[in-house]
Amino acid sequence: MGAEKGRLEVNGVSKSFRDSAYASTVLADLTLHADAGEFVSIVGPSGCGKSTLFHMIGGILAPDAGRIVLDGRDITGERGHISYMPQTNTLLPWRTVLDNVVLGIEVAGGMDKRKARELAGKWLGRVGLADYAESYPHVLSGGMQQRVAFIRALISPQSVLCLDEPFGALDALTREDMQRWLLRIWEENRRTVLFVTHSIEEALYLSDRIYVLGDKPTRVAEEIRVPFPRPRADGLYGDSAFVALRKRIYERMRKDG
Amino acid sequence: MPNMSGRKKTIWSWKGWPPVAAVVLFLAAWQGFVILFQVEKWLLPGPVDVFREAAGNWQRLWMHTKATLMICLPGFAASVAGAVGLALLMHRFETLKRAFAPLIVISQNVPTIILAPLLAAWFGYGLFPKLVVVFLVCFFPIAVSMLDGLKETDPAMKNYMRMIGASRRQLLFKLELPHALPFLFSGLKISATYSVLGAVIAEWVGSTKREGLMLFLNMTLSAFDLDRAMTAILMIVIVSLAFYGLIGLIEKLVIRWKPAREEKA
Repeated sequence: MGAEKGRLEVNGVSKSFRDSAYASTVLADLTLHADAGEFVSIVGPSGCGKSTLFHMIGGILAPDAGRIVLDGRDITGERGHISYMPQTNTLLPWRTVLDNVVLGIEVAGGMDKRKARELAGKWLGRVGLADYAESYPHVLSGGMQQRVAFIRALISPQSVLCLDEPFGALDALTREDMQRWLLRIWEENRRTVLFVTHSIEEALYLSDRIYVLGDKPTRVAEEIRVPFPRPRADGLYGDSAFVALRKRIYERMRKDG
Repeated sequence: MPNMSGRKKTIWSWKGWPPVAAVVLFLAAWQGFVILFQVEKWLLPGPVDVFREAAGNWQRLWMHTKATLMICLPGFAASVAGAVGLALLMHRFETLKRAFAPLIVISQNVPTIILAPLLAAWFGYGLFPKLVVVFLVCFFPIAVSMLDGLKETDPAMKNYMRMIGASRRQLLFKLELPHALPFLFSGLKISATYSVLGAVIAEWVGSTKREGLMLFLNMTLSAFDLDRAMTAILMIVIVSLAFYGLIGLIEKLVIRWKPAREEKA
């Protein structure tokens, strides 16, 4: 988990779908990057191809043009280089919470099973879910399930974490809790994070940098460096600089959407 | 007083009572009918006569039951192996799936009553053609349920597994197979009951051995020994139920992760 590793580049990636209802969904010459240990958010209108971008980074979809580069190495079309957390609950219902947390390590391989379980147990304890280690996921609330899914992604050996609207299915209050929770853990355990979200506030609160995507074809409309120091304060939402930035991104999205 | 109402409650909240009550009611009505209309025993024996006969003739009855089980169980086991294997292959290779799908349906379409004598004509009256009948009868529910279970794996979970780099093998063993298990068990339960019927029909064609529940049934029926014939039917029912229950028990032991049913009424 060295801090130097995990620089991810998306270089001039294009993708179009010809044979489906999404014929208009196009990524055109998209270039962006995340430095090692950097928290980068991608905001954009829904259906603008953010999930397509993630699928290409994950290597399960081939771009028409362009490359995905990790730490200087071309990984276009290769799988297994990222850890991932989607919006929907993807905890396996037949595995206990602990066994679910271990899954990412298990699939990646390379760590002794006992060691992996120890690590998972330690993390569950750290986030207050130790009592649920031997329970099945269906007893957890939606927020708790996403905490488990995040820990699963965090302790996986890959250097880049891709979070695809991880809090999108949660209610507003739980969502705010989760943002604070995620921020606290990430600030203590820096990893490269690529974070897709609809929420401008969420992106501003969490990220070092934000890419605002424009629609049809999808490209980077604006790149914003978030100036707030870390650790981020809870009251940031009311800060006048925060409000101004939010307005700027909002207007940019409206113009392009 | 609170004690008594508490006990009453536990009896009525026991989930098994409706079917037991229904069976008891049915047997009581049958016995009542026989007594009331003074039906002759050779025409329709009451359940009491049947149970008495079964107890008295237990050794012979068990010998015939064992012979039927020796067709039913190996045939079922072979069918499970074949159907699960084929379902896995069909899941892996789309072409195989398209090729074999109609054949699987056909395996279910040909009536067993026609199939059994045909197989006897080809393979004789030994054990083999009877095993084939049971194999074919059980095959369809197992193969179809297994295929459905593999196919209907949650796409979001599949996507997740592929995104984190799971190999095809990992996808199968960590996601698709566990997901297919509850489906498979539904198929197994159906096939378990089919297997007993299949074995009996296979015996009906004829056998080189002079044992089996169908043989016993034939012998007793032709002698108008109706209470004995009824004991054979009783055994068929009991064996089917026991087999079904056994599969259900194994299912409960294997699949422990299912959310518990709502206990509140």
